[in-house]
Amino acid sequence: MSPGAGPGGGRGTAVLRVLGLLGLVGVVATVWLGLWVTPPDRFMGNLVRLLYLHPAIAWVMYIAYGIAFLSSLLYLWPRTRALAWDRLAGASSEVGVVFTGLTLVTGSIWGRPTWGVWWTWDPLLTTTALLFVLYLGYLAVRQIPGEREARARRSAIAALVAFVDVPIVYFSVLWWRSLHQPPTVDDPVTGKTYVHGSMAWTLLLSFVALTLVYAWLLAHRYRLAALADLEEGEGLELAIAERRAEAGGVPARGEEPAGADLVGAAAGVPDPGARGPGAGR
Amino acid sequence: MNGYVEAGYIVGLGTLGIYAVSLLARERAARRRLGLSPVPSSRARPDHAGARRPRRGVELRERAAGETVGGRPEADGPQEQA
Amino acid sequence: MSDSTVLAPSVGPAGASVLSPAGAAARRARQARTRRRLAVVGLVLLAAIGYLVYKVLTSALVYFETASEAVAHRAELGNSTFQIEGVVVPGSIRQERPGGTGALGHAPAGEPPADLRFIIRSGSVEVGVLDTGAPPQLFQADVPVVLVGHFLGSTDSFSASQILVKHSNAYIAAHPGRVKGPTGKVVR
Repeated sequence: MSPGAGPGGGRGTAVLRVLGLLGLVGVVATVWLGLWVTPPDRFMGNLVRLLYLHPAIAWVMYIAYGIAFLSSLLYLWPRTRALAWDRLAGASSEVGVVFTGLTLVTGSIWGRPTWGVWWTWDPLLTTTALLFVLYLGYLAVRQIPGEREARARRSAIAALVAFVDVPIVYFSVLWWRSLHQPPTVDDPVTGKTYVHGSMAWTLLLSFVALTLVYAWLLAHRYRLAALADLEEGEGLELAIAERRAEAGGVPARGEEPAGADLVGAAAGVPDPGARGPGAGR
Repeated sequence: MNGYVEAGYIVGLGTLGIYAVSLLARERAARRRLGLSPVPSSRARPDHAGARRPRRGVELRERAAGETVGGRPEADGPQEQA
Repeated sequence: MSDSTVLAPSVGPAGASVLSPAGAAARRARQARTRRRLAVVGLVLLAAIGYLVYKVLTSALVYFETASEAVAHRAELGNSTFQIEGVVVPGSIRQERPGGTGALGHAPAGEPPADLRFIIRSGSVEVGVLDTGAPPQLFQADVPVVLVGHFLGSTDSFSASQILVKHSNAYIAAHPGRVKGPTGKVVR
């Protein structure tokens, strides 16, 4: 074992824990400011408090699909091709699907008392629902059995196809008539921000907090993907070891690499060098 | 407050919490199946430090490892120190 | 998990014996099951995608007509159901309950909501509205609304079954400087 190793002593894990803690503190502070400290809105009254939840969730949704898109491109580009990009794309998409579902649900909960309906076929709502289903489809494509590289390639292509809807969702409130209002922060038409004071700061904090939460979830989901790849290789390795044992050899297993993978994951940077066991090192 | 706000926060943050816990549980289960310690330790590997972009060699090794799944296991046997 | 599980050679789901013919057969069977399940999931998702694309093209692309557009297209719209948008004209809201006052309010318990009459405006065009549904709590004068319904008979009046209140993207504190934080301190 090299220095710095030990249960829980890994750098990746330490970074991740700090990240998780910051995210948690940020969320708690957002809830406190959002529910108790900030003032009610002139028009919406206390219903405005969902402003500190719903837009930040939608924001993370865009980030998650953006990262899935970029990592899929990096996988398809021959010079940067590495399974780590595929794992990152899959991880980010799954987190993105969770956040898309929550965008729809929290939006619905907000829409009922403000608009008067749980749902309406408004362009933004409809294209967001489509986004949810498209990425569920992407996650299904990832499950189709096949050789590892082939799965990665077809997943990357599916990710590019699904991403087509992302800009459509974002610009739908500008391109078409919508019940939903355009973004409050940095309105794409006027470039202005229509929220001020503690309401604005709390809104900003909610974006930061949920982005940190996203980073934490992404890193953990990535680790899980790395472990799954390791496990896939492990089945094979075990079979080989069994054969060796039958032939009289002594199979040895060290505590192998997964951990090293995680430094990169924690920093949000995939480590394309990380791979399954049996790496000649 | 008025029911909707509370419901929104409970559903939103509650779901994220459940998702986070499920990821940790799945990670632990996977590590156990692999016979690793429940909590990861990141061992610094000389050729790993600072490796931020894919290297051709790694890619080739990955390819090789991928091929073994296709049924030529002997081509890339375990190379851990025995 | 017990220690024995940890110490025992782990058996990954990929199979302990991918090399043996039996292991390979089991793996193939598992993959076939996965494919069948995915085919079902895929069909459901494709149907959902198809439905949503249809909704985008039919409902979302022209989510509403403004009151002035609707009046201009009066002949084509006939008595079909569509969404109309306009701003509620201040002072135009009347609630007609038998023997009632005409002020906006909610129906007493047990009674159906009273018919609501108001006028919406877009540009210089005004459209009289008869609403038969319950208005949402944020419904009030001077807000933009989207109404679901149809033109009445051959008139330019609109019969709404549902009122949706639009919201701008601006948020303004109701009583700036008068809101107290949990510590009793005034938060600005």
